Amino acid sequence: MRTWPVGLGIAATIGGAIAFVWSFVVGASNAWIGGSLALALLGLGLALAFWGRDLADDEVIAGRYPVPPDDTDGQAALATQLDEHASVITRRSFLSKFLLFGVGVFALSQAVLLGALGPWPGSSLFSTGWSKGRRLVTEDGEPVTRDVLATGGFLVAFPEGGDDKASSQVALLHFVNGDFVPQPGRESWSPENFVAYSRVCTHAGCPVAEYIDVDQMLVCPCHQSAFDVLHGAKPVAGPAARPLPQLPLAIDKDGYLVAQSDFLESVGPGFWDAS
Amino acid sequence: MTDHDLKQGDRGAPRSRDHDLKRGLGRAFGVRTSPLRPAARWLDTNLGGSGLLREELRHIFPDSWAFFLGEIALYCFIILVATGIFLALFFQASEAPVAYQGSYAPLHGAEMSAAYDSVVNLSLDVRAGLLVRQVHHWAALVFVGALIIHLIRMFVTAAYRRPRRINYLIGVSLVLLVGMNGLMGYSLPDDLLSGTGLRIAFSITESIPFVGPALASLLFGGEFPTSGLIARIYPVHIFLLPAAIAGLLGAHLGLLWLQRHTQFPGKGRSDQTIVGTPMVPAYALRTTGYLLIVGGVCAAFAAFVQINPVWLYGPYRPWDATTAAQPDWYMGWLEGAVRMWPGWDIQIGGLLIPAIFWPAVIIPGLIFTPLFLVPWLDWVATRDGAFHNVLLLPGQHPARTALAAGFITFLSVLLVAGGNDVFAIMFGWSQPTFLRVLQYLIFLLPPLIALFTYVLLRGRARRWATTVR
Amino acid sequence: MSRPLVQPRVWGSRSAVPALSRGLLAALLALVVLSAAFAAPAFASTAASPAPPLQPTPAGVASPAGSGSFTPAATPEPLPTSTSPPGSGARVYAENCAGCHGARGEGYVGPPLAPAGFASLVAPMVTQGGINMPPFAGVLSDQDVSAVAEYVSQELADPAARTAQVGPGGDLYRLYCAGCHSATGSGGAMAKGRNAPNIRQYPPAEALAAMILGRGNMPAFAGNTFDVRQQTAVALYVQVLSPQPPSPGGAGIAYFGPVPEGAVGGIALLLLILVAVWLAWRSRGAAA
Repeated sequence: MRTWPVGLGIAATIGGAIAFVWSFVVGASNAWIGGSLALALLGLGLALAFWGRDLADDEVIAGRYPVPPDDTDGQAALATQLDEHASVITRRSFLSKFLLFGVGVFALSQAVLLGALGPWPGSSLFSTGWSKGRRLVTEDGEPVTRDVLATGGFLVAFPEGGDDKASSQVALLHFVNGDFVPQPGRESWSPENFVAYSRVCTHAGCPVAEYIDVDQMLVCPCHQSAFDVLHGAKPVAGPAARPLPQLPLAIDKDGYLVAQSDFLESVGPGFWDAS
Repeated sequence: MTDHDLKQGDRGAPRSRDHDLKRGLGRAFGVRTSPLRPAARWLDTNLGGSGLLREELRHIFPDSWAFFLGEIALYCFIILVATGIFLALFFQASEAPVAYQGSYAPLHGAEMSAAYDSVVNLSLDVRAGLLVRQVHHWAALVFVGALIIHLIRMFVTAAYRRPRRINYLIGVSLVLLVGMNGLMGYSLPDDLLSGTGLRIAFSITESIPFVGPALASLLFGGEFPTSGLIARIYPVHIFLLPAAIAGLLGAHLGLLWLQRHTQFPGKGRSDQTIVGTPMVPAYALRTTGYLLIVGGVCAAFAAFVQINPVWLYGPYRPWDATTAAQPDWYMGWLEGAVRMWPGWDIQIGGLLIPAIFWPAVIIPGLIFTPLFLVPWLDWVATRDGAFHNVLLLPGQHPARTALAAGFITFLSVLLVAGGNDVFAIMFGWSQPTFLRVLQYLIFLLPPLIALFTYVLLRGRARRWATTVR
Repeated sequence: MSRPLVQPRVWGSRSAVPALSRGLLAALLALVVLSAAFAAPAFASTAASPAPPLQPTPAGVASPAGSGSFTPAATPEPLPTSTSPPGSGARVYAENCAGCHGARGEGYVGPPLAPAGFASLVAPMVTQGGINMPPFAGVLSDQDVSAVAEYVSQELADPAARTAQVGPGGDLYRLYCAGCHSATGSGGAMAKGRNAPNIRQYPPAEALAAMILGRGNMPAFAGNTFDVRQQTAVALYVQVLSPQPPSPGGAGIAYFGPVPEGAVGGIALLLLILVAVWLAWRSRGAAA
């Protein structure tokens, strides 16, 4: 066997180890600390591997597989033995079945502990932080007035008070007169062409963060679902199936944008009894 | 050859080389006999079983590069546990809000969870912290990859046949558990990317008919986002799943040890006779070297290639979003299925089955259930219920290999679809067009590849049935 | 910006001075500081006092981005007689801006200018005006506007205040920008085949212009979503990401997240498989 590769590997390990200690102590970069560690590991690893490979080359031995081929006799004997020993219990038919029943009841009863893990969903999936008269605020908590958002713009808004921010988040848009087509029955929801849609994607729940104003679409960055904001945020591309719920808006006497009520549909991805 | 000779282990090597080895060891230590002798005596005195140990010293391992794939996985697991211990000493599994005060200026004043803060702190302000974190993450990526390659090797060589059916089941379970543990692991830092993934996981869970919302609420501790989610994931990731993995792994290796490893067909090999390398010294040296090499490669990648830069993603806030939002690669097939499946909500009266239920719950079930049933599906197909210790070469059974090729192609298209927006932006393609192409490919490509593989191998079936060197 | 933002902590710098000497030194230092504190007012009241150090008023810096409110400084600085050449930014500033914004941009009736990082953001503010600020479009020539914009962003802006903006800028970036341009600024695919570009490739002025005016598929953020302070903050954060985001961990592999990372992981696996092929190779065939 050529010994120099093994020696070289061990030398590399020693060099790497010293470099590792040095890099660590002086606070060198990740590349130095990691590179020296890698050198140390690879050096020793290749040395041992090379040596082992060489030895393996010389030694080939044969032996016997310990597991016998199909031993149907043994299988039958095992089954018979098991049956014999267990029959001491199983011959008491009622008692053994009663035992099984009792164990089963106990085991099932412990499943109730799972209920401690979390609350029953209740109405949490059907309500957000919006309510009648609740003002829209930006991420900094500033209430939104009609002057803040020029036409063509968009803002991320939340209910004042910060309840349930995650499911209450809305994209506030301000359209040029004539662009927006209100959904039937929702003409009063968009005062002065301000429109707010829920920002929680109805596909898998990511925030629908992309606003493409040339196509007037809100697009979700996760799976590229696109919603037509001029026509009730109906999905026009991607895997989403349901439109983004619209928040009924109003402008109060001080000029602040407020909600008229909570969303009428459940926000976000669907579930079996979603509204 | 008598039975007795075989039992002792026939040495193919000339005796003198072995003799030289012993002499060499003695000389190296400056003693006439090796210090291993008193050690062995001590072991037997205090433990017993010297006869068993004697036999196991020369435990035979058949040789092939394909048999190292499981070792890659095993050693990645060891690296993950070792680095994980280091990480656990720094990580704070709490979502309590803290204001960042570390050395990374772009996050100054940002409000974040204690979990995220601890990971950024570890990465940027703890010496070698970033290295250990990156070794951990690279090892995780390689781990799952090695498991999948190992599983493919099992399938195409029919290693799952009797008496290894149970060991095969253990193996597939390990793939599942490791994948889940990886998902939980990269969700712990509570950064924007992984938090988005948790939101999607919640949506998938609540999409299950009838039990979905309740199950999601139970598992996550309420409606997403919950303040205790990271604290809940933490013990599962560092204890529950690793303990299950370690236990199953022990059983997996134990069964492998007892039953001996399978071997490729060759001269002198049969279902009764095993030929290979003895444990001591050759195999032990080689495999220990390989452990260090796996560690070294992970360290090298961790030293020079950045992975999961959480300080760039920022802390998770449910109103932040980033494009190029993917899970780690081994969940990519699930992500691809979710992206490719159209918005086919099913409304039956008052019952809604959201579209995401099918690609995210049903399709994984359809993928993993046959995987678990492979040994019995094989029996149905071949009616071969005999014990086998010799493997089949992939070319010997073209149908099996073609099936594997088709299945792998299917999963690969899903994987590519999982990253379709990143491929689109990197290569300047139109994302919807690319997705549409993939939607066609998922139906056309797997059967094509399977057919191609079958035709290719059938023609060479005879040539493959020769001794493997 | 070449100044690195990631500063590794210096570890384990223990003084060689014994403990007792250290204590004495500390006491001496405290004495000096205390006497300075007592003596300071005496210095401040002299007529020939030097200009106070440039400090943004606490109210100005702490007020939330996006609000127009601020607390003016307690007493206005007297207008210095400008000795700068006519037409220079300093002269234009002294004659038109100092009355509201203070002689050194420290703020008076108008907010402090310390966070003003970019000339291309100052210029539109000057021409169009702000919430309480009159437009100077007819008053100042284009040359004057760009001169004073340069002066404000170079001379009066305070690096510390700018650095303080980067954090809030990052927050705003991840809320409004990362959805299209990704958290690392690498860009992303949107619907209908549109792609948001890699913003790190652009010089700051161009990125700012796109943010203010909107460009292509991008909506205009100025006046609609961001006020000047927020625009500055976002632009400063984008500068941090450009040309490459801070990457102490090594090569960034395109900064597109887990997709390229997975591909590289595959390379690592392939490497290990090749090593296995090498390991298991035998020079002689298996003998029995």
